[in-house]
Amino acid sequence: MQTTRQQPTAPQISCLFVPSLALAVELAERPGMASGVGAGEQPAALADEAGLRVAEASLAALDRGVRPGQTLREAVAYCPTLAVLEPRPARARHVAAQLVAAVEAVSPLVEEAAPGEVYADLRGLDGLYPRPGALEQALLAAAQIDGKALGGKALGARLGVAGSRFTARAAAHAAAPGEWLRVAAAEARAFLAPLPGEWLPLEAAEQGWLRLLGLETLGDLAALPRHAVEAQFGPAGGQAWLAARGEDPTPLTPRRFRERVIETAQAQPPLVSREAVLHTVEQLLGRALRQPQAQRRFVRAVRLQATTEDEHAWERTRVLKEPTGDRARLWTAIRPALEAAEFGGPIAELTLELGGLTAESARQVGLFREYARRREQLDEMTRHLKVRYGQSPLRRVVAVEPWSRIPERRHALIDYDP
Amino acid sequence: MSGSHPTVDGAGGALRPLGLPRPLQVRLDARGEPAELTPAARGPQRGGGARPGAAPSGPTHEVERIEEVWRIAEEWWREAPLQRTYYRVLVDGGRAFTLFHDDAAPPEEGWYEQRY
Repeated sequence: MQTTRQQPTAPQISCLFVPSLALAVELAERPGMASGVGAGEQPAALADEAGLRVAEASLAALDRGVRPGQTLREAVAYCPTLAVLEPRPARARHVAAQLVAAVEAVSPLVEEAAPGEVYADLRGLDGLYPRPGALEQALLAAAQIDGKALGGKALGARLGVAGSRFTARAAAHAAAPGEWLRVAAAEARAFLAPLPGEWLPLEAAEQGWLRLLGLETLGDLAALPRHAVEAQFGPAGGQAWLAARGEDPTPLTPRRFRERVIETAQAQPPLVSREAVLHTVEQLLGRALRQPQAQRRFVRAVRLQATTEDEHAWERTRVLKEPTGDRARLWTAIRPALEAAEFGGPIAELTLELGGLTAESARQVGLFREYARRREQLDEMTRHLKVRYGQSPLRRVVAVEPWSRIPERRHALIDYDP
Repeated sequence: MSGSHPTVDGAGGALRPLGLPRPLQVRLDARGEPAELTPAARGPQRGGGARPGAAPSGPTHEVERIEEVWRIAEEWWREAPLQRTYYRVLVDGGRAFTLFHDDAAPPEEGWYEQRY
């Protein structure tokens, strides 16, 4: 009997890269400013969340001596024409998530190494994209998110495709904004050779040691014997040596599919009182538990996200000691996080995510259940009414801002929808 | 009306504010104070009140006395800060009304009745 062994497909890894994503998002959304982070444009820097230091700087700003970590006063002294932008972490995070989701539409195996740096395993996709360059175009199109407001070129996204992770990253860094660069396995070493050694995945101290040894380019490192590099840099040196030769063995770690239930509410005008936030999240919890995926399931983790009107983000995750599907117990678990939260501004959007969904399991009930039974009867009646009328006709009054000088802000009706 | 009421979007689960102001038609006297008011007719809307923006069409009342005037200025940091001038008035027949003028609107417009 003759057996044939199928040759494994050669790895194909893509790296979609948006340099300084948070800054690129800010520039892309400001029509008055040149978009992108190119060297020939107006120097711009993104302040950190405290508004004291430079978090990211455009190439034009870097050329004028601005560096991340500088105080804003220092940065403006180096570059008087510097445009300092206020960060909106929630907006940047939203765009980064969109980027990942868009790449996942092309490949099922996607890893987000950092915001704006998304790897995808392209093995087996040739059949779906037979025309040369079609796969790369599809991946670059993934950066065309948010319609006209954030075009791929506006974000400065670039794509690298190669047989190893590091080479794909280097190709993406080397590509022009909005362009792609594919490096064949046979050409990887020659492509990498002239690139600067700073691109290697080494710690700052090791980078400094590399310079002291006079190893300026990846080619300089690749020309050394592996044992000599490992003698200086240890195991990380061995990895760097392989990477410099285009043989980076680091595999992709695709993000695992997590079954989850997400509910979001947007408030206009933004919610300024904690009571309003509590009531809204309580409603979101009810809605999430009514979703089909959460029916007769237990929840192990709850994630809360709040976005302020200035696009600042707040996030907390509560992992329950014991999974539960009981609304009251879940509310008891997440309420303290909301009561202690410091949001940093009025809340424009709230998101609740139920994760770690497990099968329902048996639980010990209490002995004294009269109140609970009455509540169950009310809930059952409400469900009947909901079937009859399409929505719950019952409401309850909640205090939203009882201290407010504006009478209509003090109390509100919310659905009674168990 | 500046400083609108908080509502929360989403499938169901909205916060519906209670005690929303009802539009009024007000005629001003020479000093710019309310002299005559026409409340909105009670409609079939939920809660028995007219919604903001509904045309006032109820009976007209002469203002006999203004008992109290006060101002509320809130949320000055927003693009549309909330600025209201409240009047507690007695009308013919002895009935009392609390009404306010949305100061972002012209003097003859932006009048509302406020129930507590």
